[in-house]
Amino acid sequence: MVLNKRYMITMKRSCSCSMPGVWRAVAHNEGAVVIYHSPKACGHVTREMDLGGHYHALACGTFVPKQYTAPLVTSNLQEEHSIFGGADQLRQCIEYVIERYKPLYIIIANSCVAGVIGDDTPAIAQEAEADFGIPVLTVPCSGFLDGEYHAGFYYTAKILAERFMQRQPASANTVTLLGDRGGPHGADAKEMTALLSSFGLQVQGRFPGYATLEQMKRVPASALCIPLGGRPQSYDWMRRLAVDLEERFGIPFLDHDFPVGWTGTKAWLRQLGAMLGREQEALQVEDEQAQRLVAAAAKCRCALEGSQVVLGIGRPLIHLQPGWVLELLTLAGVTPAKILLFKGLTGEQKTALRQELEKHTITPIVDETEGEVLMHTSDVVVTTHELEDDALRQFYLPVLPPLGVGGMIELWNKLGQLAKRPGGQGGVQYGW
Amino acid sequence: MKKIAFYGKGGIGKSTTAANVSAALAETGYSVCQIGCDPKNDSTRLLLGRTCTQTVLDMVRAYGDEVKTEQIVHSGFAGVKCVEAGGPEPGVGCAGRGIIVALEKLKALQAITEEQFVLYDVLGDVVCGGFAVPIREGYATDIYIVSSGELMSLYAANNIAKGVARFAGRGRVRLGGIIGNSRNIVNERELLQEFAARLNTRLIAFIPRDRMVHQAEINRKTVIEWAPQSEQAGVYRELASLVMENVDLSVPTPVGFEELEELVLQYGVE
Repeated sequence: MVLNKRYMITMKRSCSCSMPGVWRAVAHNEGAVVIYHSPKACGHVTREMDLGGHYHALACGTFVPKQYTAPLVTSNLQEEHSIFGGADQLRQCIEYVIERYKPLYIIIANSCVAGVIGDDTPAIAQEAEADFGIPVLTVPCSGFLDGEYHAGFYYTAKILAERFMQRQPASANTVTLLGDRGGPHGADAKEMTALLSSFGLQVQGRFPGYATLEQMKRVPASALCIPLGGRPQSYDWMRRLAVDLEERFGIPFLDHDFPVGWTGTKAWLRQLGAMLGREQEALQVEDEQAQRLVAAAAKCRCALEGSQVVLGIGRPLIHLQPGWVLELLTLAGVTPAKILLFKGLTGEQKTALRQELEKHTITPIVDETEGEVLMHTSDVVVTTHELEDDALRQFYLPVLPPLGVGGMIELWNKLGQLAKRPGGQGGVQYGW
Repeated sequence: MKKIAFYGKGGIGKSTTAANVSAALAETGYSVCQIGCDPKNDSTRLLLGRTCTQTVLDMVRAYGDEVKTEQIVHSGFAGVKCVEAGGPEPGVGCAGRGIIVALEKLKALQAITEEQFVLYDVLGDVVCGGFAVPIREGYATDIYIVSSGELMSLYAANNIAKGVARFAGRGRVRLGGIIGNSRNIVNERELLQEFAARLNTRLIAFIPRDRMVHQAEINRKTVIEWAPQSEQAGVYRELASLVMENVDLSVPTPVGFEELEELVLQYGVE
């Protein structure tokens, strides 16, 4: 039995609030302050995100002690504002923010309440901008009403670009990374920087996050933009941003999500090589990456030798592309004994998953109940959900796929460590 | 307690009709309360002789949970209790939400418990869930639709009937009839009678157009108070009596727009 929540998502779009996406987009942009025109409680998800990010950075050793974090202030909409409108409340909130934080700019995200009652947030922002002389920007999303997390992120980036960027001559071999993926100090950033440097490309900045106003203004000087998505859903939004920047400032972009798995990495390298007209260099980089891969896979193969592995999936296709997981296991010499589909999935989600899995493997795919005995006798369960039986050795797959060969190596190392746990020691090894 | 709601197209004369019915019932000795469910706060103007400034929502905003019944229930002509839900300025906030909150507050305060008649005078059409609350939540059981013979007025009346039909299935709410408020349209009474029949109800009263109504209104009075001996006052008294005694309530059967157009055309040719 899986411990955490059942996925209830059946639509193509995700069911999420756009406001955390707005905050996330500028969370570490110096001088930014985010206002949620919302009830106070709407801030809690973002607070959790912030806290989660903090502990994750500590755990990964990527914590940056004095990194700026944008204050989040809510306008504290209450019942009376849902009737009489929240305009005055928002005005007061802006005044408070300006006095308290002296921001370089303010971003206002609308909540569902503000959207339903139709508060004219752009007009209030415009007035405040005239009164206080700093940019006060509004994002055209209203909580869950018409947006989702990625929409909030995208529209924030779009308004920042429209407000602060101007067309300028490109600096040769410079790259701007579009998206988040743990920021400039994360493992993904290091991997991406290394891959790009193999082509003589230099990451000059990131957008929309982790950028000062000055850095943001330099984005149009990039020779290339590289969108970082991770899943089709997030990539679609980042690609949209890349298209906007290309249309507005003439910055070309690599029309490919970041490299996932070995097949994905090869494709990404070749596409980048073709775009730059450096196909030979791309093949050379591919060889170097292949050598890294083979060496790391051998270690993991050794650690997992003779182990019976079961793969348990409880995330629908929208959240998990199983191709990279199966490739990761295959390269480590592992063929899962069975693939279990967890109970939380709907019939439709299971059918879609089966069809996708069958493209990559001939391993039997069964429902959780049919494979339960096998799961409890296996050496390692590679899983998308924590399992109740803590005697099992569980390898918890990350929600977002790892970037490039470096990401695969990290997962192999962790998988190897799990397999080599002494005695019958079980427990969960997190893949992020 | 008889709980009645008046619906109808904006400007059709709901408040005037409701206020005159309230006044007529009150002068007979019944205890009556009229609740205006419109952010304009003008439902009880003719009963109070002024526009109510202490609305439920204003008082809740000012005093929160400390608000008292006497702050929101005002005494009007012949002791009619007058309440205005209140609401936002035009173009801001959500008036529908305001109606929900105001009615909930009245219920929580048990402000209206002993009256023999409670009349809800509801803004225009059933434009959103908020304005359907008097029908939906068991506040009113007898619904009257005020309409003239004009196409758009009938269109709104038909929409209101749809709202009543929707909620009739899960509660006691029923349509009491159509109240014709004349605009001097040709064959207006006959048209309204036929319209009411198609809606599975009846034209309960036909109020003729009379200058007296305007005169009373500009003097901030009901016709009952301004010209108690007038014929028009008699019309309102008769309506009050019919509303009081009406037990012939029905689940409406709204018609399609094309049928409505044909009907208006059929009766409208001069």
